[in-house]
Amino acid sequence: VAHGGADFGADFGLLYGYTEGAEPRMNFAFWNLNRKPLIEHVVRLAELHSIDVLLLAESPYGAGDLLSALNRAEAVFYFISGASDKLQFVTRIPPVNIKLHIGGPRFMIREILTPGSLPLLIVAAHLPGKMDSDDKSQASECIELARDIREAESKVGHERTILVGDLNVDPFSHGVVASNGFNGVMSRQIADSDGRTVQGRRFPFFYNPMWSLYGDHSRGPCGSYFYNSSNHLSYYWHMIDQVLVRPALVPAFPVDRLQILDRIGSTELLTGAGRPDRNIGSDHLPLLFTLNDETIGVR
Amino acid sequence: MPDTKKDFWPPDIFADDVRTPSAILREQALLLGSKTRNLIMGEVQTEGGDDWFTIRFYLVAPVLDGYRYKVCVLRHDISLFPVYILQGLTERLQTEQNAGVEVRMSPVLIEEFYSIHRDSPPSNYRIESEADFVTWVESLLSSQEMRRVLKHLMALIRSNSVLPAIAS
Repeated sequence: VAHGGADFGADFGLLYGYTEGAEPRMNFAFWNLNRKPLIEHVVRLAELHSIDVLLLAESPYGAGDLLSALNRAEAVFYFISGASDKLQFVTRIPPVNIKLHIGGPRFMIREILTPGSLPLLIVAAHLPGKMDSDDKSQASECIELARDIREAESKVGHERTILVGDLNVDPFSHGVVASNGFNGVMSRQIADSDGRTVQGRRFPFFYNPMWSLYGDHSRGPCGSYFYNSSNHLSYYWHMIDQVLVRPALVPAFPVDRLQILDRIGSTELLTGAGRPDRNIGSDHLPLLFTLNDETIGVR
Repeated sequence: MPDTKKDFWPPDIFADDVRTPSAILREQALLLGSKTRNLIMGEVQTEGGDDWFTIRFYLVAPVLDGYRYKVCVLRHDISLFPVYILQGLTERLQTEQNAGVEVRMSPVLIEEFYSIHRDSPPSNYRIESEADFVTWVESLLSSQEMRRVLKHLMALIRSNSVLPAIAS
């Protein structure tokens, strides 16, 4: 585990060259590319949805390729280098406003410190999958990351935290639900209480809005990933790509803007049978969400 | 009782008519980012201390794990000019010009240098005016040495590329 980041307190007038003009809200996208050559889809996604923070997992591209493609028309995106080689973080937010708190091979925790806005902690993760880990190990990874998140929050002095990524487990799994895991709950009302105390230890909640996107009556596809197991037990659709927010950010998180994309522009990402089309896109579908509180404005 | 307090401070302190050495470098930092699609960016750090401001100008390549190349270190006082060149490509440029021995100063040497030359720094380390500073920045950024550094950085970035064309 590596610690790092610039010391913003020591200097003033620290500045990267960057362009002006953005809305007082942040649009996020996360997509596991499954190592597919989808650069044009990624560029289109960023353009069409005015993405401010783009997080990719299993990208086949080097950082230079990614940035070069995204900035083909205008140099508006910055690559944020970090400890994780499994994730790529590209953003319109100047790097000077982003501080790395902690990172490991499968996650990074960064704080966004924009002038005039309240600070924000972004946790991006790509946790081990079923191929590499059994259920208990996956739960343990969630518990370890949850501990890192709480430590980072304690260090920065706030719980304005977003957790996003391919967690490789569903919202109902042990690691996501357990209090010492992500403590993710499906109800805003429950999340809005002062955490859960177990055996004298307090664990802050995450609100997990992904529950609302399950099944036929949700907006969009039934999940973010489809897997038809040959075993007796099969859920078919999974919601392993998730975003969870701490209660402090729930008012700034419009659930109606949370989407699992089934198309990018005119490009359908699903087959005729309504499953992720691996020939066109990835086996995962992109996840989009917005923070619209003006105190969290990009600039 | 009427308020008899008078405000002696000048009224025009917010007038935006002064261009600092940092601002001049930042303009160039911005241009480099646009020119390279943010593959290589300029970063200007300005640090205030007792009586002096120290400016550090870097090239940063975030896509190369945040590699940083220090272009120059400058110092000026509240007068803004003269600007004193403490470290950077300048020594290399002078080395090229004078075929002398290249000296890149450590932070300790910078302090020593400055304490020695505080009253009368060598003229080739001292830039008297904004116009001269702009000329010096131009010669620095368009130098063969800078060209070499930038080309090497782009080659390193390209060597990690899987796409046919990058930042052409």
